[in-house]
Amino acid sequence: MRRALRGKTLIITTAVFILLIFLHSIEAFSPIENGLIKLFAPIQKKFFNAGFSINKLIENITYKKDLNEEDLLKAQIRKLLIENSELKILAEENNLLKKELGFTRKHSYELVAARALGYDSTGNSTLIILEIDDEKWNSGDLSINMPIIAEDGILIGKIAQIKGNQIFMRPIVSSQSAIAASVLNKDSTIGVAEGELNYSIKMRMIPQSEKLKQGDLVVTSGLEEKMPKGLLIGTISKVEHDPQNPFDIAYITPLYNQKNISKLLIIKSY
Amino acid sequence: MVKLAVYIVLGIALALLQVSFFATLPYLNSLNFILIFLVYLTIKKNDAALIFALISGYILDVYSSYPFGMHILALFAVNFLANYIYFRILTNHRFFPIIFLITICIAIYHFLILSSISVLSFLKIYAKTQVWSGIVIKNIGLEIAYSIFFISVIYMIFYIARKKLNIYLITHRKNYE
Repeated sequence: MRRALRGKTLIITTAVFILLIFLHSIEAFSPIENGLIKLFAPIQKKFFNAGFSINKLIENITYKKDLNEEDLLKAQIRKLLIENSELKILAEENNLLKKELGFTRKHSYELVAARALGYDSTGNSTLIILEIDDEKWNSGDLSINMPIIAEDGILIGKIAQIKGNQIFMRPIVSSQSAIAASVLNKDSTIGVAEGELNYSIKMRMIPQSEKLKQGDLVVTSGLEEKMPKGLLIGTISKVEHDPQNPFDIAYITPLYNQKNISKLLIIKSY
Repeated sequence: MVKLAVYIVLGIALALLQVSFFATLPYLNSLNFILIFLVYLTIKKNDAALIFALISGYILDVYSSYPFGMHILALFAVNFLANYIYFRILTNHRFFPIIFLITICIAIYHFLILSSISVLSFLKIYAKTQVWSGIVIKNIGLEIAYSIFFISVIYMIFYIARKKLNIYLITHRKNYE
């Protein structure tokens, strides 16, 4: 009797699953899903911000640092690095230096504001779910590989996937991330900056003849589609030199704060 | 009916917390609370386990970059397998069999999702994705380790609380008599 009941449950569950897949494939659930996403977005924003606040609190307790002073210094370093990279790029292109008027005006990018809602529900994924925070735009206006930056112009990631109204961002530190980059040194070394273990960035295949040093700025080279030149990626923290190997490896520390990515900007065109 | 509504709300709430809250926190981001709770409902022979799996799986699928249905499929499978292993294979229903069960369930859950993606990629239904890698295996291992630790803590809290409650009840009864 119990076995028959279990068999019946299994059949009903399988039938429900197949029906769900079929209804989803003909987009019968789209209005429900869009409604759910809109309905849950405010709750998710609160959860996401609460998570980051707790995270910051834990960090504060663990390291016992004066975060106000540290944050101020970090902000100053970020500002100086951004200014430095911009000056170098402008000089390289032989343009006149202009007064700082704010990132968006200076670069005339077409930007779409977005907000982080959470992480991809698949445990092993590093993708971040974004919601467009701009009434003028919807996800149909965007495409895969568009760069996503912080308000001060630091590259955070690229669009990895668009699913209905949801945008999935792959951060630059993600293992599957690859960005065409160049180092702001004498040789203007170019290469591919690959994410490593969701923590740092590695730049491989750098010829040993190229002179790299700790603290050199790494920016986007503009050699890939949809990616403008000069977006700040990070600074070189270590250069691995092996005499047996014809190429060097540079380790890059990203400049964006992984714990402060709630407000973002997507570069639609430039 | 009320009980069913409670489990539906619980499924939605836990899925939203998993995606937006626990995922931002260190250590907790390695835990799958939905899976743990589903295993708990299964071993408690709760009829709402399947409904809980369906609702939370659906919400997880909505917030997943993977094709629709992966989480529902994995949670359904975990429900049936946990039921089978716990009531048919494991004769002892104490601490270590539960730890064994949760380990198997986490492994099956990830194996099903990752192998489904591999098959869909192979059939060119889904974009080619590298799903089996050292980092993924390491993450699954970490999830198992953290889950075992979490369940052990919960188990110990309940064990101590029950023991203290029993002592209290016995002494209370003696005094009363």
